[in-house]
Amino acid sequence: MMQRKRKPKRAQPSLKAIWRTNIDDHPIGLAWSPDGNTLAVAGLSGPITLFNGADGALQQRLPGHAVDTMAISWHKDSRLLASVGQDGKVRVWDAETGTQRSEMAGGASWVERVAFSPVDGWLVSAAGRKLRLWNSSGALVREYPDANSTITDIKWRHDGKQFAISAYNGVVLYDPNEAEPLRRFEWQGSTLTLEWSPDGKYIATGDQDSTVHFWITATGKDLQMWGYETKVLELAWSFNNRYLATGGGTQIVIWDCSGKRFGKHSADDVRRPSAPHQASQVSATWHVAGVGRQ
Amino acid sequence: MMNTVETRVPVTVLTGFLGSGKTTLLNRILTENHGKKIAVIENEFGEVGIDNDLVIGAEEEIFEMNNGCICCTVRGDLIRILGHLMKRRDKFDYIMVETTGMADPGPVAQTFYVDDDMQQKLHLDAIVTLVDAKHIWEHIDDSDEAKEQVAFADVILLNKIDLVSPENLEKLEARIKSMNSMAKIYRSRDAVVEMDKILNVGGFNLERALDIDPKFMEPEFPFEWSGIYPLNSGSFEWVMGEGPDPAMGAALLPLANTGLAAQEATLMDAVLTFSADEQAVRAEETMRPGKGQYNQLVLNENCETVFNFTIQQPGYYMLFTEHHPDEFDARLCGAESVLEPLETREYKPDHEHDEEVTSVGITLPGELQLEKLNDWLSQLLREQGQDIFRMKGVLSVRGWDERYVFQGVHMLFDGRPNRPWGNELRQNKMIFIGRNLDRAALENGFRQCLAS
Repeated sequence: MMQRKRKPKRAQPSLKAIWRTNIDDHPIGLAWSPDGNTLAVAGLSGPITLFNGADGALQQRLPGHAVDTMAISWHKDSRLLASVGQDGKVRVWDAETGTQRSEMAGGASWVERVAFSPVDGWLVSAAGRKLRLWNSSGALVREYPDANSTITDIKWRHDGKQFAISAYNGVVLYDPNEAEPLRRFEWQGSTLTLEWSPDGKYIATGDQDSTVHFWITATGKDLQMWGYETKVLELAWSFNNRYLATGGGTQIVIWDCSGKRFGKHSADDVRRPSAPHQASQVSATWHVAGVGRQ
Repeated sequence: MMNTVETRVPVTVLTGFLGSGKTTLLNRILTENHGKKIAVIENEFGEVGIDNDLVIGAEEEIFEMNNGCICCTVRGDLIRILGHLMKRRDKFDYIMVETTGMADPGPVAQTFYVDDDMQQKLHLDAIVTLVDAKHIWEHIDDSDEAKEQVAFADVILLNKIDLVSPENLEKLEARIKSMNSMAKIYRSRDAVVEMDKILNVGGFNLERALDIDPKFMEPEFPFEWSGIYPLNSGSFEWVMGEGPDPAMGAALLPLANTGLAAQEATLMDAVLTFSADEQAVRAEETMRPGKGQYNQLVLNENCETVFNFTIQQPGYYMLFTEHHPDEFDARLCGAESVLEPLETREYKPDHEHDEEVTSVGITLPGELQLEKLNDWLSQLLREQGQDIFRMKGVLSVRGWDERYVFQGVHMLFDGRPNRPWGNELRQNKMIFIGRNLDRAALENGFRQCLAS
């Protein structure tokens, strides 16, 4: 324990539950509609439940996927909800009526990722190495050449002009209007999840080898943060682009990305584990700017 | 202290070439009444489909980590699928992972040690390898995958034994033991085996590392078979059919009498003869009997080949062949009939292939010095970790009252103190299974770690 000069005031709980409910299943996907009115919860066994955001009242129960729903994503107008599952399908639901609008083939038996553009009607799905772009009425706009390995994540840039996918070997950037990728950020390692900074300058990835990787999207320059206890699956940017919160173990590490020095660190600045298999003995506290909610 | 209750789900990895009976075994496991709810991850498609909602198909996907270390090579597909499966934890209490016939078991095993989620929620119980007793001979010499699957196994099931002769089965078992002396070997037809032979085996369990019994290998010989024939003077024919090789080495040596001492003397002559310059002998040509006469019998294609030889001095002779005569339907014919050997002997093959997979077991009384042991093992794993598939050991370390038990897969190493020695004789047992293992160097290195 660190020595403190003053005893801090006892923290008051500042968050109160507005409502609680349960879906009688393991939740696997949780998504707020863009208008903030509806919370969609996907259960592992398939059904998707829509709750009124204000009071938790049940709005709709969508059947989802017969064999395990894997992911959900809202359309920008908050009316359509896309879901993917282990039945090999991409489904688009009308949140108001509770009916299925379209059903598309994801390209493999497990469709694991789906993402509506935050700006347009584009919908991107990933099933294994298959990447498909749809319009909001469920028509296939484009099938991309297979990715090098299973696609682990899809994220749109906040202006909807680009989207990025991650897979083993790094990140690939796409413009939804172009068939060819805009850029590849290659990395010999397994990238598990990615997150754009709100201004689109950075892409952060969480990796299987217990690292966090940053890419500066304009230049392709990258830097890597070592020393996590476990693989990193949790990433969250603050709205002002300044902080990136990361999981990867029992500590939350928050990176301050505002300083002039950011992006100029050499790998030597980063504390490395003493041996690749003793990562659990190393705490990832280097360069921590703060912990908690910003 | 460390005997916490195991809440992790056990996983059995099932390997074996296509056609070895994996699907038959899986179907048996899924339908037999053994009181377990088993989830199955199937990597191999085709054969017979399995109808069960806890069966999930997977496509092998290997992740190498950026540091290029082989021990960080894991199976991404398993991490994803097992991770997802564990969310349905209440639906099953055991997991079987079937690999494709061409899979390397290394990354599969490592997945359970390298990935954090896997390590927390699952534990690798054992690698079970099915071997098609009839067709394995087509792969065992040339296929790295077949060798690795045998080498990594905790349990080996020799399946389809109804299709092979008892002698061939003995030969196969001997060959497999030379590659992996740690595994339990069972024989089966139609993959019928008691479930407790393949489930909860504890192959990676340190507590059970104590069970190891390093077997010293018999000396190796450059031939696989010998037969003793009493021969009168006259002409003989050695007839061979087609076999796995286009040629075979052979030597025919006089034997003083059928006593053991005489046989040993002739055996030594044979070893010397097999290291002499070979002389090619083709169809209808004459094989030369005698010491130093190393005949390389060149076979015809598509038909039998007859080699002649003449015996001047009647008496006992010992015929040594590089391969088992049965592999070539080979026989010795006198003037009138086929001659049966009085006595035969089989030898462990001395395979000179570079990629040979063997087991090296070492037993050494005394106490080891910890620093020396650490230095030796780190250097060994650094230099040969890629070629060491599995290792296990129980060690006596100076200054420690407890046994130190360990096990490893490639460069991943898991060890800890176990129960105290008490009055038992303190000794060290270690077993390595791998490729290109140098027994003498390993023994010597290990001996150097003894506390002086």
